[in-house]
Parts: sequence; C-alpha cells; structure tokens
Amino acid sequence: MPRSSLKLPLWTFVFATLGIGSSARAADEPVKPVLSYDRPVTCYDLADGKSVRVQCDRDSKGKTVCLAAPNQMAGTGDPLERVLPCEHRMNDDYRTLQKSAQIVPAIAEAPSGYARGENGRAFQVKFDLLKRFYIGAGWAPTLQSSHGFEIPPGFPLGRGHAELGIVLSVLSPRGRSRHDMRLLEGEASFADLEVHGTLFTYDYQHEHRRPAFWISTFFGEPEVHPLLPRVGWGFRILSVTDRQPSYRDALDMEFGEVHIAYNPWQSTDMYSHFRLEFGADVGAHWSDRQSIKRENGNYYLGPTFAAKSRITLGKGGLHYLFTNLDIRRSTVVSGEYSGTTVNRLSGSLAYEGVLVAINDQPISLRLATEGRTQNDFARDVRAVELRFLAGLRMSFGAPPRVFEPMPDFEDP
Amino acid sequence: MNVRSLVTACVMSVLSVASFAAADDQDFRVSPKGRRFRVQFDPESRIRFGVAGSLARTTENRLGASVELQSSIAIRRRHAYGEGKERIEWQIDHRLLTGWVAPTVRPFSEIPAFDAVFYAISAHRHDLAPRIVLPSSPPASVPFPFDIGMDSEFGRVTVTRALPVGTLDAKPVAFMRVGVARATAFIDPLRSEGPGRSIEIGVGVRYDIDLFGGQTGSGTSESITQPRIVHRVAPGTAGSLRLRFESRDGLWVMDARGEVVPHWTSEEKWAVGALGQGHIERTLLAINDEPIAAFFDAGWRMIPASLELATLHDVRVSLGVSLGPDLTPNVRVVQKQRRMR
Repeated sequence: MPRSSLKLPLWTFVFATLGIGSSARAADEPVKPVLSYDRPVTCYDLADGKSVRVQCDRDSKGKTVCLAAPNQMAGTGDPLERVLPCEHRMNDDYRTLQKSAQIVPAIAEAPSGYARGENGRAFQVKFDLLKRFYIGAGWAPTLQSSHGFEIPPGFPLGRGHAELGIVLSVLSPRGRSRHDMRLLEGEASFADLEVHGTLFTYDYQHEHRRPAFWISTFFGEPEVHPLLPRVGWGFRILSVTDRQPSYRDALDMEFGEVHIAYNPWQSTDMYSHFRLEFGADVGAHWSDRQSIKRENGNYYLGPTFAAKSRITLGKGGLHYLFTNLDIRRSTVVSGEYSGTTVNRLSGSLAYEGVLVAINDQPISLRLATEGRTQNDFARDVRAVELRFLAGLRMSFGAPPRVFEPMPDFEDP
Repeated sequence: MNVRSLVTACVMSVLSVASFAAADDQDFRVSPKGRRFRVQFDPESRIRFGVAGSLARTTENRLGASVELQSSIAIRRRHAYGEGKERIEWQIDHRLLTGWVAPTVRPFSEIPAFDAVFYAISAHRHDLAPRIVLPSSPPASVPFPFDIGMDSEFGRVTVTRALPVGTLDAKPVAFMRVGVARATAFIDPLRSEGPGRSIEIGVGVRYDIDLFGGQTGSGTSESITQPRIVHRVAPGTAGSLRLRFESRDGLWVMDARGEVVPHWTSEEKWAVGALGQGHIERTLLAINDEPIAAFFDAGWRMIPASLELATLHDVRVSLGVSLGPDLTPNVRVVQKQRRMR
C-alpha cells in the first residue's frame, strides 16, 4: 500500500502535531468515534453514488448501534486509503439497517501508526526514525581552544552544517535480536568545510533467552549455571574526518573498527538501549592535506571504547534522546610520528523530536551538543572543541513504529 | 612384555575411536532445570591451551618472573581384551606438541625460553592375573605382581632460562638441548584398576644432544650459529620413578617424575644428569562441558659439567589455567563398553 497519496495535490500538507490522535478541531466540538481496524467492515453503496463504511455492535441494553463513516474523501470523493477490505451491500440493505439500528456518524478505520482526519485522509502519527533516509541542515556554533590553534574569522557563531545518512534497524523476532546499520552518513560544515562521514556501521544486539553458555562448577557438589550475557558486536568501515576545526590542514581516515558490546540495559524490543563497546581500530592521519600520499601517512592502531545510549520517549517514536561517549587511543605504528600515541575523546548529547510531517515524511528538530578533545600528533598541545547544534532533519521512508511481539525463545 | 600386543594396542589406540574411554552416562548429571552437564572428565583426552605465571632461576642465580604460554594435545585410549582372569587392559596415552614458551624471556639472541615435545607415548598394561612364563621344560608360570609398560618421548627441544656459565669466568654461553629420543620400560607395583594411577619404576635409554655457543672468553653468548655439540647417550642406564594419580571423576591429576641418567658423552667420559618434574591439575569449571583447569608445574633439570662449563641447574615453577576442548569420544557415536569412569 503506498504510504502517500498520489492522487492528492503535491502541495497538500498534512500536519501531524505532537501526540495527535485525530484531526484538529475546536475544543467544544464532539469527537467522532472511529471504526476499529481489528473488526470486519461492511460497505453500503448508497443511492447518491457514495458509500459508507459500517461496523455494528450491541450496547449494554441489547440495542444495535452502528458506526457509519464515509467511504470516500471529503471534497474530492477519492477512495479512502489504508482501509480494510469490506463486504459490499446495496442501498436497500442500508435502509433496513437504519430502521433496526442506531446509526452514529464516525470516522473510517486506520491502521496502527496512522490516524484519520474527518476529511478521510489517513496520516502517519507514529514514526520509526531508526529506519529512514535523512537530510538535514542547522546552525552549528563551535567553540574551540585557542591555545596553540588558529581560529579563523567567523568562529564561533558563523557556522552552519548539513548532513545526510541512511539508517536501518531491523528487529528479528525469531532471533530475538536487532541489527542496526548506518550507511553513508556524513555531515559538512560551512564555510570552513569540515567533513565527517562514515561509510558503513553495523551493530548487533540480542535479547536471547537460551543460555549462550552453561558454566559447570566443581567446588563441592557439581552444579551448572546458565550464562546469558547481552553481548553483541559490531564494526565500522571507513570513517573520515577532514578539516577538523583544530586541524584545518589535516585528514584523518579510520579504515575500520571492530568491537564487542555489552548492553547493561535495553528495552524488550531493543529499540532503546545503553551500550558499552570495547574494540580496536586502524587508520591513518595526514597532517598536510596538500600532500596526501600512501607513503606519507601516519598509520595508527589502538583500542577503542564507547558508551552509547538510545532512548525513545513514549511509544510513538516522536522523541529520541541520544548520548555518545567515544574514547580512542591511537598509536602511530608507521610514518613520521611513529611511536606517538594520541588520546581522542568525543562525546555528544542529542535530542530529536518530530515536529511535523509532509505527506507522512517527518521533519524533526535536532538539538545537540558535542565535545571533542585530542592530543596533537606533533606538538604538546591538546585540542578542545565544543559544538552546539540546532537544526532540522527531513526523513524519508520512516515507517510507523511497530511493536512486534517476540516469541518466548529465539530459534535455536 | 608382549611386544606384538603392545604395538597392536598403540596402533589401534590411534586409529580407533571405539575405546572404552568413551564418555558414558556416569559422566553426566542432570540439573534441577533439566540441563545435562558433564561432571567427570578424562584429563588425558584434551587439547589444552594455558597461560601461567612462572618463576625460574636465571643465569645470574636470581629468580625471574615471566608469563608462559602452554599447549598440549593429549589423547588417551583404553582397550581391553579377554574376560575374567584373562582380561588385559591397555591404557595408551599420547601427547602431541606439548610444552611451554616464555615469550618475554630471551636467554640468548631472539630465541625465547621454551620446552617442547613433539610426541610422547605412555603405554600401561594391566593384567588381572599377571604371570611370567619361564622357558623351562615344562614351562613354568610364576606369579608376577606388577603391571608393566613403557614410556617414550621423541623430539624434545629445550632452551633453558638459565644459561650454563664458564667454570672460571662465570660467563654464560648460549645453550639448547635436543632430546632426540628416550624410552623407559617400567613395572608398576600399584596395579590400580583406575585410569591414570600408577607407580612406575623404570629403566631406559635416552639420547640427547647439547648445543653450546662460542667458548667463553673468546666467543659471544649471543650466538649459537656455530655450536659446539656434546652428544649424550644413556645405554639403558637411565633410572626413573614416576607417580601418577587421577581422581575417579578426573578432576584432580597429579604426575611426578624423577630420573637419574648416568650416560656416556661425546667428550669420552661418563657423566650423570638428572631431572625432576611435577604437575598438579584441578578442573575448576567447564563451559558447555569444556573443562577449564588450574595447574601447578614444577621442574628441575641438572645438566652435568661439560666443555669449560659448570653444572647447570634449571629450575622453574609455574601456576596457571588451561582450557580447551575435551577429546573423549562421544558415547553416542561409539560402541559403548564398560569403563572405570
């Protein structure tokens, strides 16, 4: 079923305000009931060429009460989208029904994650922002340590940024696991043109109930204990940082990172989690971007650590909190700075909330603060950067957030 | 010793998995939650990878601490022939690629201290009614209250942490020992029916090659590229005593061996070497029925004075943990036979 109506004019905006469950209306206007999406619907084709969707039930007194909703869009008369298939009956049947039952005007049913306005338009009210392609832009004032570093004109306020990326999070109910992927994520600031991007990131987590290990102990009477660690893993391929504010002439390229992860806490569907990652990475650093050659890179490797959290507030997928702490300790093993070890620490705290949706494609507000510090490869100085971000993201392809039930046990 | 049956048992022990050392239901227990888990092990059927902290005597007569990495592949097969008084049980223990290496200890050049054995085999014959037949007329059968067996080792290479030093100038020279082969025939007065329990009193042969670096005073202790070689041959003069113990459940293992080796050297003189080694192991845990054990090793080797060098005493102790897959055949895929554990 298409997510957006192709028959509506392109510039038909449907605004879904936060927490919306029905279309906007005056406060004193009675709220119309809504047909249930979980029960069968009967469609009556009326004499005037229109049709109504009807669901009947008996009230506590045994009287039949029927909800009747238009089966076409108000105004245009186009067929409704995202409705259940119905059994069609004729106008005479409807007249008979009107005599035997109380007819209550209602709004047609809508599937989970959608609401329907009185005009008949179904619009998305829940969003899964872990499945989307997004583009964004914002204001990114950046503060930077001036000790040993040149600060160009325009800092800290005259700085904007643009970003894009593809995010995909797949829940595997049979495996009681979740696969998180991020593809072609990148951001660029202007006018200094700092570029940061990652080609591909993958993370695996699970909520298994079959023990991964059985530990037998032989102290006294032998016993066996199940061991079910929430241990996942992941990797990152090709992460690039170019023209970092403190090193405007430098290019840093992390070729790859691999880690094991432990989730001390995660929600039952692993949508929200707190995650600790321990791993190692390998990459190269060029101090002079004008002469980037394979032979003059400073190739490094070292351990990595990350503490991340992803929390969705409420069940609508409208509000998200992200925190991230990254620690990397890279040792140059080949190149001009061979033997040098640099500590890199970065952290961020971000909020993202859906403001509006255009043809069910959400636009979200993103507020973030990010900090970054690292040793200089050559000098005995430490770069410190602090960036604030306020921007908008337009997301495409974000489906309604679905709460999929999982089996008691994963497949063996 | 019936050589033919010994050879047959050794060959069959390698080729056949249908031994009575297979895991059986006595080796398992079912937990209150229904998990079937192993509670008895065969410690001589296991691949081991271990790490240990070690203390050893250094060339300077001090104690040096280091980390050791250990490994071994142990395969035990037990076979029985006959019934009743005619029953004969063979216990064949194979050991492959057994040894340790201390990567951070470099006694000379870039070679770390290590001790590695390519292959070792111990064959133990338990006869329920042992007798010796004397070739008299008519032949006489005399009770012989011992089990018998043989214990051999092939391809042992050792770089000791302590180097031999000159008698006069106390300067060290590079040293490496190549134990080409040794073989010991033993009797066992303990005659235990339990696997891995024996008191082995033996006598045997051995052939070792000692490689020494340049002469002290003129050579360098860092080089063994042009070694001076001393051959050592013990023509049936190596006496040994070995004590082995395993608990019924296989969780405890103790193995101690001492050997005194009067031998003829290529310096055309007799000398006496000696060694002692001990091993205690306790299986503490198992992960998915694969055992993890703590072990304690101790070893002493006395290399007699030769060339211009003084007697060398190589001493080390280590304490560590080992883990690795159990190699006991799965009872579900082998013919089930009676066994002790």
